[in-house]
Amino acid sequence: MGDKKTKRKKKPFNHVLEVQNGFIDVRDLIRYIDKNLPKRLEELKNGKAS
Amino acid sequence: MAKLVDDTVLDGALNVIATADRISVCSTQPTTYTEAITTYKLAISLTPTFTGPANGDTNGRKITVDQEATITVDTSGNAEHVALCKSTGTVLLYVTTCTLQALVAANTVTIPAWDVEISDPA
Repeated sequence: MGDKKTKRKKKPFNHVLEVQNGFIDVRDLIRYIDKNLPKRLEELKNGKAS
Repeated sequence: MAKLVDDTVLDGALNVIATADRISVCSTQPTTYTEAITTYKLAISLTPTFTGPANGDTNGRKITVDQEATITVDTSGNAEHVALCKSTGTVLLYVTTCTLQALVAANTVTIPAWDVEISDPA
Protein backbone atom coordinates (compact mmCIF):
# COMPACT_ATOMS: atom_id res chain seq x y z
CA MET A 1 0.00 0.00 0.00
CA GLY A 2 1.55 3.25 -1.06
CA ASP A 3 1.54 6.53 0.88
CA LYS A 4 -1.36 8.77 0.07
CA LYS A 5 -0.16 12.35 -0.10
CA THR A 6 -3.02 14.75 0.35
CA LYS A 7 -2.53 18.00 -1.50
CA ARG A 8 -3.72 20.90 0.64
CA LYS A 9 -5.19 23.85 -1.19
CA LYS A 10 -3.05 26.92 -0.44
CA LYS A 11 -5.04 29.63 1.34
CA PRO A 12 -4.81 32.99 -0.51
CA PHE A 13 -2.87 35.72 1.25
CA ASN A 14 -5.04 38.58 2.56
CA HIS A 15 -3.59 42.05 2.07
CA VAL A 16 -4.79 44.67 4.55
CA LEU A 17 -4.71 48.27 3.36
CA GLU A 18 -3.96 51.36 5.43
CA VAL A 19 -6.54 53.90 4.25
CA GLN A 20 -6.36 57.61 5.00
CA ASN A 21 -9.51 59.32 6.30
CA GLY A 22 -10.93 62.09 4.14
CA PHE A 23 -11.51 65.61 5.44
CA ILE A 24 -13.68 68.12 3.65
CA ASP A 25 -13.16 71.68 4.82
CA VAL A 26 -16.36 73.70 4.66
CA ARG A 27 -14.30 76.78 3.77
CA ASP A 28 -13.20 75.00 0.58
CA LEU A 29 -16.84 74.28 -0.24
CA ILE A 30 -17.74 77.93 0.35
CA ARG A 31 -14.81 79.13 -1.78
CA TYR A 32 -15.95 76.81 -4.59
CA ILE A 33 -19.50 78.15 -4.37
CA ASP A 34 -18.31 81.79 -4.27
CA LYS A 35 -16.13 81.19 -7.33
CA ASN A 36 -18.78 79.47 -9.42
CA LEU A 37 -21.96 81.21 -8.28
CA PRO A 38 -21.75 84.35 -10.51
CA LYS A 39 -21.25 82.20 -13.62
CA ARG A 40 -24.04 79.86 -12.60
CA LEU A 41 -26.44 82.74 -11.93
CA GLU A 42 -25.62 84.19 -15.35
CA GLU A 43 -26.38 80.84 -16.99
CA LEU A 44 -29.69 80.62 -15.17
CA LYS A 45 -30.52 84.19 -16.15
CA ASN A 46 -29.82 83.50 -19.79
CA GLY A 47 -31.76 80.28 -19.67
CA LYS A 48 -28.75 78.22 -20.64
CA ALA A 49 -28.54 76.19 -17.46
CA SER A 50 -30.10 72.76 -17.25
CA MET B 1 -18.99 86.70 15.17
CA ALA B 2 -18.93 82.89 15.29
CA LYS B 3 -20.12 80.82 12.36
CA LEU B 4 -22.61 78.00 12.65
CA VAL B 5 -23.93 75.22 10.44
CA ASP B 6 -26.68 72.79 11.30
CA ASP B 7 -25.78 69.09 11.25
CA THR B 8 -28.41 68.48 8.58
CA VAL B 9 -26.43 70.62 6.13
CA LEU B 10 -23.27 68.56 6.53
CA ASP B 11 -25.21 65.30 6.72
CA GLY B 12 -26.76 66.13 3.38
CA ALA B 13 -23.37 65.90 1.70
CA LEU B 14 -22.28 62.85 3.67
CA ASN B 15 -25.47 60.99 2.81
CA VAL B 16 -24.67 61.43 -0.85
CA ILE B 17 -21.41 59.55 -0.24
CA ALA B 18 -23.43 56.83 1.47
CA THR B 19 -25.34 56.18 -1.76
CA ALA B 20 -22.21 54.52 -3.16
CA ASP B 21 -22.73 50.93 -4.31
CA ARG B 22 -19.17 50.29 -5.46
CA ILE B 23 -15.92 50.46 -3.52
CA SER B 24 -12.74 49.76 -5.43
CA VAL B 25 -9.02 49.61 -4.81
CA CYS B 26 -7.11 51.41 -7.53
CA SER B 27 -3.54 51.61 -8.75
CA THR B 28 -3.80 55.24 -9.87
CA GLN B 29 -6.08 58.07 -8.77
CA PRO B 30 -9.25 57.66 -10.81
CA THR B 31 -10.98 60.79 -12.09
CA THR B 32 -13.99 59.07 -13.66
CA TYR B 33 -16.36 56.23 -12.80
CA THR B 34 -14.90 54.01 -15.52
CA GLU B 35 -11.36 54.56 -14.29
CA ALA B 36 -12.41 53.64 -10.75
CA ILE B 37 -14.25 50.42 -11.57
CA THR B 38 -12.38 49.22 -14.64
CA THR B 39 -9.26 51.03 -15.87
CA TYR B 40 -7.36 51.31 -12.59
CA LYS B 41 -9.32 48.78 -10.57
CA LEU B 42 -7.36 46.09 -8.72
CA ALA B 43 -10.21 44.85 -6.53
CA ILE B 44 -13.86 45.79 -6.13
CA SER B 45 -16.82 45.16 -3.87
CA LEU B 46 -20.41 45.78 -4.95
CA THR B 47 -21.70 45.97 -1.39
CA PRO B 48 -20.08 48.83 0.52
CA THR B 49 -21.87 49.72 3.74
CA PHE B 50 -21.79 52.84 5.86
CA THR B 51 -22.32 53.92 9.44
CA GLY B 52 -23.58 57.37 10.31
CA PRO B 53 -23.54 60.27 9.78
CA ALA B 54 -22.31 60.95 13.30
CA ASN B 55 -20.36 63.65 15.09
CA GLY B 56 -16.87 64.22 13.72
CA ASP B 57 -13.77 63.34 15.72
CA THR B 58 -12.97 67.00 16.38
CA ASN B 59 -16.10 68.84 15.23
CA GLY B 60 -18.52 68.73 12.31
CA ARG B 61 -19.89 65.44 11.06
CA LYS B 62 -18.51 62.26 9.57
CA ILE B 63 -19.59 59.10 7.84
CA THR B 64 -17.77 55.80 8.28
CA VAL B 65 -17.19 53.47 5.37
CA ASP B 66 -17.42 50.05 7.03
CA GLN B 67 -14.68 47.49 6.65
CA GLU B 68 -14.73 45.42 3.47
CA ALA B 69 -12.99 42.17 4.27
CA THR B 70 -11.25 39.70 1.97
CA ILE B 71 -12.19 41.10 -1.42
CA THR B 72 -10.67 39.07 -4.22
CA VAL B 73 -7.82 40.84 -6.01
CA ASP B 74 -8.65 40.77 -9.71
CA THR B 75 -5.48 42.39 -11.04
CA SER B 76 -1.98 42.55 -9.60
CA GLY B 77 -0.64 46.03 -8.96
CA ASN B 78 0.19 48.67 -6.37
CA ALA B 79 -2.84 49.78 -4.37
CA GLU B 80 -2.68 53.54 -3.83
CA HIS B 81 -6.29 54.74 -3.84
CA VAL B 82 -9.71 53.66 -2.67
CA ALA B 83 -12.74 54.93 -4.60
CA LEU B 84 -16.46 55.08 -3.91
CA CYS B 85 -18.82 55.07 -6.89
CA LYS B 86 -22.50 55.05 -7.62
CA SER B 87 -23.58 52.92 -10.58
CA THR B 88 -26.77 54.89 -11.19
CA GLY B 89 -25.56 57.83 -13.19
CA THR B 90 -22.02 56.38 -13.19
CA VAL B 91 -20.75 58.83 -10.60
CA LEU B 92 -17.33 58.82 -8.99
CA LEU B 93 -18.27 60.06 -5.54
CA TYR B 94 -15.12 60.06 -3.46
CA VAL B 95 -11.48 59.01 -3.69
CA THR B 96 -9.05 58.66 -0.86
CA THR B 97 -5.50 57.42 -0.60
CA CYS B 98 -3.98 54.38 1.03
CA THR B 99 -0.42 53.49 1.88
CA LEU B 100 1.11 51.86 -1.18
CA GLN B 101 0.90 48.09 -1.08
CA ALA B 102 1.55 45.55 -3.80
CA LEU B 103 -1.46 43.32 -4.38
CA VAL B 104 -1.28 39.96 -6.10
CA ALA B 105 -4.11 38.64 -8.25
CA ALA B 106 -6.10 35.77 -6.71
CA ASN B 107 -5.13 36.89 -3.20
CA THR B 108 -7.60 38.88 -1.14
CA VAL B 109 -7.52 42.41 0.23
CA THR B 110 -9.24 43.96 3.23
CA ILE B 111 -10.17 47.64 3.27
CA PRO B 112 -10.40 48.64 6.94
CA ALA B 113 -13.09 51.08 8.04
CA TRP B 114 -12.34 54.73 7.24
CA ASP B 115 -14.11 58.06 7.62
CA VAL B 116 -15.11 61.02 5.50
CA GLU B 117 -15.45 64.04 7.73
CA ILE B 118 -16.72 67.57 7.11
CA SER B 119 -15.59 70.09 9.70
CA ASP B 120 -17.68 72.90 11.13
CA PRO B 121 -17.02 76.33 9.63
CA ALA B 122 -14.34 78.31 11.43
